[in-house]
Amino acid sequence: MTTLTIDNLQVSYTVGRERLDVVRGVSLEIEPGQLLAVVGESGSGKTTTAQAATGLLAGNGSITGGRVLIGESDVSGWSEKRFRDLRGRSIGWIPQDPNNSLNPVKKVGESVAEVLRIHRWKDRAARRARVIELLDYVGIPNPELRATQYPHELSGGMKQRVLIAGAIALEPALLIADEATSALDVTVQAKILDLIDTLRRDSGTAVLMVTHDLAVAADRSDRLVVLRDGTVQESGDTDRVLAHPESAYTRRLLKDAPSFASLSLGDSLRLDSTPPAKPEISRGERALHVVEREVFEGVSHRSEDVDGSDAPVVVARNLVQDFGRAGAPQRAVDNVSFSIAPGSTHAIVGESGSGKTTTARIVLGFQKPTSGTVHIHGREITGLRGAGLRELRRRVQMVYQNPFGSLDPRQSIGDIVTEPLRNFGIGDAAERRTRVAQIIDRVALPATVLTRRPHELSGGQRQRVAIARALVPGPDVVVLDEAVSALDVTVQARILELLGELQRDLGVSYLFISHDLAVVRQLAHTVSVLRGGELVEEGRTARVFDHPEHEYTRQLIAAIPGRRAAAAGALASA
Amino acid sequence: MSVNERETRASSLPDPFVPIRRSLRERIGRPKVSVVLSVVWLLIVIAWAIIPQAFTPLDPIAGNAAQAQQPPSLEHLFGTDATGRDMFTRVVYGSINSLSGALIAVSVGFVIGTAIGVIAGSSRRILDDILMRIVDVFLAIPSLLLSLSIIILLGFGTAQAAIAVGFTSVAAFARLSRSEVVRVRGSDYVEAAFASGGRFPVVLWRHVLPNSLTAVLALAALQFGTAVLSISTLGFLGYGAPPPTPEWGLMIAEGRNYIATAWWLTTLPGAVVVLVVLAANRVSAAIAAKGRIS
Repeated sequence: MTTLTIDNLQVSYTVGRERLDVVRGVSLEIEPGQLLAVVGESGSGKTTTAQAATGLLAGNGSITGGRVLIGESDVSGWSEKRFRDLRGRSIGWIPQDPNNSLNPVKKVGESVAEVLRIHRWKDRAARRARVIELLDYVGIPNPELRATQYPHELSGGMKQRVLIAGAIALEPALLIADEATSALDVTVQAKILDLIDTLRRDSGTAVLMVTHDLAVAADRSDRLVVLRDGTVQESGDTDRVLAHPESAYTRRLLKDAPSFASLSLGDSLRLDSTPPAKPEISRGERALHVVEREVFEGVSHRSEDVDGSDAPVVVARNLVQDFGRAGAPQRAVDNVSFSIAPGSTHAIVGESGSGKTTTARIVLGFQKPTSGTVHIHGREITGLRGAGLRELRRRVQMVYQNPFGSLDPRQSIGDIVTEPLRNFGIGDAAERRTRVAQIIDRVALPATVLTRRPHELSGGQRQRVAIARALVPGPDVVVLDEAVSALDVTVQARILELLGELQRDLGVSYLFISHDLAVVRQLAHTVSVLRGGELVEEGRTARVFDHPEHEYTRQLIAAIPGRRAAAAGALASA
Repeated sequence: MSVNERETRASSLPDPFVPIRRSLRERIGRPKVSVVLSVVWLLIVIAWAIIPQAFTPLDPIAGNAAQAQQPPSLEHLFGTDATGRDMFTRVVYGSINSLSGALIAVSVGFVIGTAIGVIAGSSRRILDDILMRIVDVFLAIPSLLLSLSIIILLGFGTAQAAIAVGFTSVAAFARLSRSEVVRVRGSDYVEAAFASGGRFPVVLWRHVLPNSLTAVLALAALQFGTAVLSISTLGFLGYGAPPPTPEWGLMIAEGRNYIATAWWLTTLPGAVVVLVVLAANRVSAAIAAKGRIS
């Protein structure tokens, strides 16, 4: 008996007087104990499909065709009241963001007990015992104590375990995990996914996993359904889909997913992990580059350019950053040192709370370190103020994680990209225009974007604008703070390509802050691994990834999803 | 969802550029009937203030004793008062007093309040604390009591009443604009502006102010209605314009003596005040909603 059958499902939303068909004929089946992954980029209709199966569609959404069967019964026309009985009892739901999904004023034990109470499961004492049993099962140490704590006292991974405990409390036949591990650090993610696997083995629960992360889906699922624009691009056994993808879209997804690209065998041939002695541009181009700078800036601030000095652009030594009261400081960064060679990319990787963003802010001059030094082109920059700080800002630029937040919604793209030139007083109006037009062309945007506003652009386009803004004053170093983490995988791949190209052409150095080791492996020449503010390991990317010396680095690398897919891909191409 | 959909299509490879430019008409969208009615009503009242003689041929001050205390009729829409003055004419001529008073009041509150809020929101802890604690004190005093105290200092009169009413809204403007400035200051694009070499006043003017003003403007529209009410209240209590000025609050106060025999003297001017306040509130809500969407 199949646990969940979705047959030619169609869902549309009514927005104003418009009707939007979001899911257009999706079919899938899940057997008990199976894990089926629905994979797609944002707007592909994957979450809507899962919501339709549980009757949780938004008020303006409705099923316009097809059937949803849970077990034997067709639930597509069911009322909210009938669904309410089904949810929790037959279907468990693991939400996306554990930090938002627990009631902050309730003890976590009560949150877990809620589903039991709603479905009138036994009496109070039995419920209490069951909650402890569940918390213990999902791997929460000391469950008696934890049950009496509030959500803010638990870590993100712990909260997700609590939510899973609630979802499986009544032993539902079907568990729906909507991006359940996307907000978690990679090592935590691996553990939560292991827990879901155990659950399937122990009680034969079927799992519908909704995710944008093809690597996670590939590692854990029995069957894969690839969605795009509400239609099924590909569906079948995971091994088959990975080894012989039938649709062009799936092939592109597999190619663009960084985990596969960087883990596939023989990648060290493809990837140049040695930092170039000099930026990979010829002397002639280099001279041109300098001339161009002089034309625009009046004077060259970079005599080093002409000398071709090999001295590192950025040298950070023994950085320490304390936060909080002087009496009991929280140490966010503890004795971190690194350097960046000209025209190369240095990555700082770590999980949340590792101090990587704080380190980046110190380099940008947004944060004065408690102790330690940062030299950029031999000049000490910590503690700079006023004019000196502004001069630093011209050499060190930044691209933010969220392209939706980092562009002023009220300004046109032209104004946004011109702003650094205006602030630094570079060129006159006509020169600025040419320079902005050049850089917009360089990041592969059409000139027509200049008059548009950020909300008219897609995420990828906005990130290109942010990159253009960072490059337009001609910086030596660009800090990329999780700059591709918020993007869909295909868009992410294009932005990474662009960043590589720009580095080759302009000889700019990158400080790349990321939690995503797969992306780091693709882009970075050298890497520092941080944990809890401390430098755990550093070195050339290839060395660190292939022969990690520290136990923590090994754990991090082992937790990168996508091994199975990489192996399948290697088989397929062999 | 629609935005999401558009996003996806626009971002499909290789970033084909799909212009999604919306016309002004589209951006405003289909206006709600209540908003249209409110705007029309406010425009009529503004027209009264600008060209009262276009709406009524009579004199608001000189009465005709032969026609005293007449109930509303086609000849006298709002009836006449004890001295035979046409009430409709007086309401029409009175709108200039109420509207200009409200305008002064809102301007006073908006300018002083927003200035305090922006300074507090963008400066260091100590100055912020000092300014906001003063604002808290102002908030703690009942607004009518506060405006009465101020008017006693300034002297009686329409302009003085307006300024007094304006001061009572300084605290509200200051709090709102401070919170908006703090919100916008924490956003990535403001930090990005500093990162691209922006000096503090430039960033404040170019990025922080434009992005924090929508909510403040909505409050200004809301305060406009409240100010009309407050000025009428002061007029009613005798702190505003002296008789025989046709001021709405004063008219209601004068009509109070005849409430048993001539209901129209209080009811109809009162209804006009209520409608103006409601219309201003509706427009304010529409501005606020617009700000949330775009």
